[in-house]
Amino acid sequence: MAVRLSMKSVVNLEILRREMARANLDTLVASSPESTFYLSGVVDNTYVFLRDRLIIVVVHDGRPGTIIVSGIMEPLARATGWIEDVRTYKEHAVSPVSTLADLLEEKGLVKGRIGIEAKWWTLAFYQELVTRLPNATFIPADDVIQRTRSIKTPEEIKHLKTAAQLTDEAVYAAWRQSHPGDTEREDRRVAEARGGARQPHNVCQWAEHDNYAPHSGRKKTGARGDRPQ
Amino acid sequence: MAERPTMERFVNLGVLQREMTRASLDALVASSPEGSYYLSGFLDDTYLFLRDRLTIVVAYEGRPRTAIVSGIMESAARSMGWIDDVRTYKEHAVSPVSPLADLLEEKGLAKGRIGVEVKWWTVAFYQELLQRLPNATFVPADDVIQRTQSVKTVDEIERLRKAAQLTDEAVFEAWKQSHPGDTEKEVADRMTDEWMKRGAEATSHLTVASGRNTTITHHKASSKKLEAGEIVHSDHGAIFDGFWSDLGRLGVVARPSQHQRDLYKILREIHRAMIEMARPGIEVREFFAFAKSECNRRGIDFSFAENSEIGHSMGQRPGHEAPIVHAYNRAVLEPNMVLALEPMFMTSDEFYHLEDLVLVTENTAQILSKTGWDTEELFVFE
Repeated sequence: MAVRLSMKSVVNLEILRREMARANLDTLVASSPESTFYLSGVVDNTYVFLRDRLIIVVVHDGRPGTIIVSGIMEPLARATGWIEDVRTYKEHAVSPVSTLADLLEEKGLVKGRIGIEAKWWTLAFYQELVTRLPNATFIPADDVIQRTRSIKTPEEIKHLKTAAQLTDEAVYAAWRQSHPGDTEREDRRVAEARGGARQPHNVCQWAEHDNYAPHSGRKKTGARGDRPQ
Repeated sequence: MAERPTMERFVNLGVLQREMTRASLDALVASSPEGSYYLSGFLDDTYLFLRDRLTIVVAYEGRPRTAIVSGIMESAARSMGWIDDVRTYKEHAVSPVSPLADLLEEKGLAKGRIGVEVKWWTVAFYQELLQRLPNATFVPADDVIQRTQSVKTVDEIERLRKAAQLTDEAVFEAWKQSHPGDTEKEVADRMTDEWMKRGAEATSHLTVASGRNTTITHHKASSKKLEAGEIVHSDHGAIFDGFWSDLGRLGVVARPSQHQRDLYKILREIHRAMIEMARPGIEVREFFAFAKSECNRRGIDFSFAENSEIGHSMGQRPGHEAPIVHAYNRAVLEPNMVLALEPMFMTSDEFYHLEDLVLVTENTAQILSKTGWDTEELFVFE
């Protein structure tokens, strides 16, 4: 099983409260993949591609208190996340915004100042939210989450260090196994297939491709004097 | 150097023009990764995570004509994509909305009817756009792009077929190399290794779960060992030549119980019947109604699938494209649509799921992911 982290070890609650107070927010609604993962411990990569499959984390009473997920994601949210109040919606039948609005009403938060991620929240969902809660005040709060995340906990630092060091060791090992005449793709495959990593991003390019950013490894052959990146 | 593709091979211009006319659009602004990639041939994955790094493609006068990218992406856009009019902005100094507004003004479209993807366009960028072009009429046009993407060109179909078949061959090989006592992670690593050997650019998604882990949606392969009698489920895909695959396979460790055989037989029969149904004229929701009624008739709990969908189209990049197979979708199938059909159900301790890619032709359905792997029976890890 993957390591299950606790809220305290990852979320910098003190900074989160400070930033919410500074922005005069009663509630913070996170919906971007990076923020919902950060605040809940739950991530599902399909969410990056399927925007109707919204994950929403609501911070109220000073901590991430509720997570809203698609019904098919409930087992994942309960198994991997630390928020106990998990609410679900039925994809294609009920909008996640409806479940969010119900929650805000239930908690008496609709008349307060509600921070949202304006750089993630789509126009379609935003219009639905404003229609459903016409008396609420929604404030762009991307910065609140970003500033909170920017100050790392010791546990985060430990994991970032491990990830960086294992990646660098893997790439160093792969490059030592690579020689003039190998293709960019061969180089990439060796690096990707080993170790405990889950999923890579990978740009491997030889001199001719250096000016393409970012470039996926292709069949270009490395020649003597080419500078790999 | 990779071959630079041409627009006509990958964009269904006839359908694009038909759908823009139907929606009375003067211009179509695509900004989602799937929309901008489809129309331009250019994709940068960092764009998924860095939302200020917007790629925008504008279609007017009948075809995609202008791409707007961050300055650091200009080289990639020119080398990978087919649009010659590439405009740039300087990240963090100039908003991507600014060159978009400049372009629409320059082309005399600032008072026009402009289609935008409201399911992608963010509140922040939209408010900026409204301020900049107060006389334009912006209308939701997600459907215009989705309907265009849903009818595949010959080249798209061949790339999707290749991606699906190479992926399936790779997984079959990896599973044959795997045995009771191996960990989920070891099986997943072999799968990755096998499709990278066959030329994959990257893994698009990968779930390998055994036993009770199968009930955790999109479970990440762990250090748990495969134990005799357990179901093994994988939902996986890789990217080949810019097109991705999405397949689902089931196996059992050592020996299946009769109960597991029976459940797999039901799943496979529903799957086969859904594939047979994939013909022009059928409404997409009929697949869902069929699977639900078959499960109910056989005493299988279908409630898990009712939370979501049991199929979708697909194309150049990971993501479920329209038409999505859910209970309410009245979209009608046309020839040259593709569907990844994936009936599924959950028992108290196991998940059953099969997924294959199917092409709708004039007369019948063709399984694009068909390889030498006979999924008639559960795969056995020996």
